[in-house]
Amino acid sequence: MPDRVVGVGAICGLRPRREGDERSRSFSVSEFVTLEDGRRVILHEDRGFTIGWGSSGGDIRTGETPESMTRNVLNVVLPDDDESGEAHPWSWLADLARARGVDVTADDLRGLPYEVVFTDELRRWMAGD
Amino acid sequence: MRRTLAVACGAALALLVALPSSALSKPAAAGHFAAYPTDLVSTMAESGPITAGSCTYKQAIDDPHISSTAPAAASVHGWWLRVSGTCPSKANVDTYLQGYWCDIYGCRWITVASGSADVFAGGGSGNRVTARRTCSSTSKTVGWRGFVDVDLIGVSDPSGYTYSAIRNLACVP
Repeated sequence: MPDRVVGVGAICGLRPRREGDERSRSFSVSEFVTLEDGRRVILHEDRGFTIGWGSSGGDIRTGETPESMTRNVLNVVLPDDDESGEAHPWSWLADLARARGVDVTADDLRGLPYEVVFTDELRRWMAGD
Repeated sequence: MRRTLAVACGAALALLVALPSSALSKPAAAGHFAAYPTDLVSTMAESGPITAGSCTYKQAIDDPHISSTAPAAASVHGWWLRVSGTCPSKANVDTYLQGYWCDIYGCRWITVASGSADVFAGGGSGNRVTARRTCSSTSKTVGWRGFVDVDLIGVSDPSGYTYSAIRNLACVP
């Protein structure tokens, strides 16, 4: 049963810098499910976020760590309706998975570990490279 | 004279619709919401460095997106991030959602929804401020963007906007 889902998560990457904009930086966020054989099935690639200085300016990387970036990613993937009380829109994610041929339910996803993965480029950016 | 007046009125209208507003209103001039041309370079109007006491903070906003729950709506969420220094526990976060509007005066961004609340740093459920606009139709692609302004409560800090990425979504305001 190779299509059994064993995990769910988000991939965060660095977007190109916007021309003339030194005071903010944008990041992409996609979500995926991991199958038992290790393959990842991308559920959507249409989210992201932008961080900007609201106080004294400087390197936009200041204060950004894997932990802070993880919190930002988890903010982006929250359900739009905060009143649901859930950390993720499980029904929507399950619908996206089924539309891609992966047989999984919201309850299945709710019980799986959720991981946030950074692209190599974003890891280098956070490290100041 | 009539021509001068028309130009002046057009300029005033363009200024009026560019201002952030919580009330949704289409401009009086006939026009339509439109997709944002992907070949245009987006220039962002951002403020210079802002000092807010000893508190160093950032503001964040997600990309405009179609809500994952019905009814179909475009939304953005804003939040703030404490970096260093002594910061108040809460800040006022204003989040704005804009659609790309074209009429006889040209194309520009107009604010179609906004939200404002005092929230703790870091975001998370209950600590994001949403601007959301239900789609009147999903049959046409429209350009969307959001921006956020964070004001520390009890600390004098000039406004400075952070703009989201621009997304073309199948959602008409």
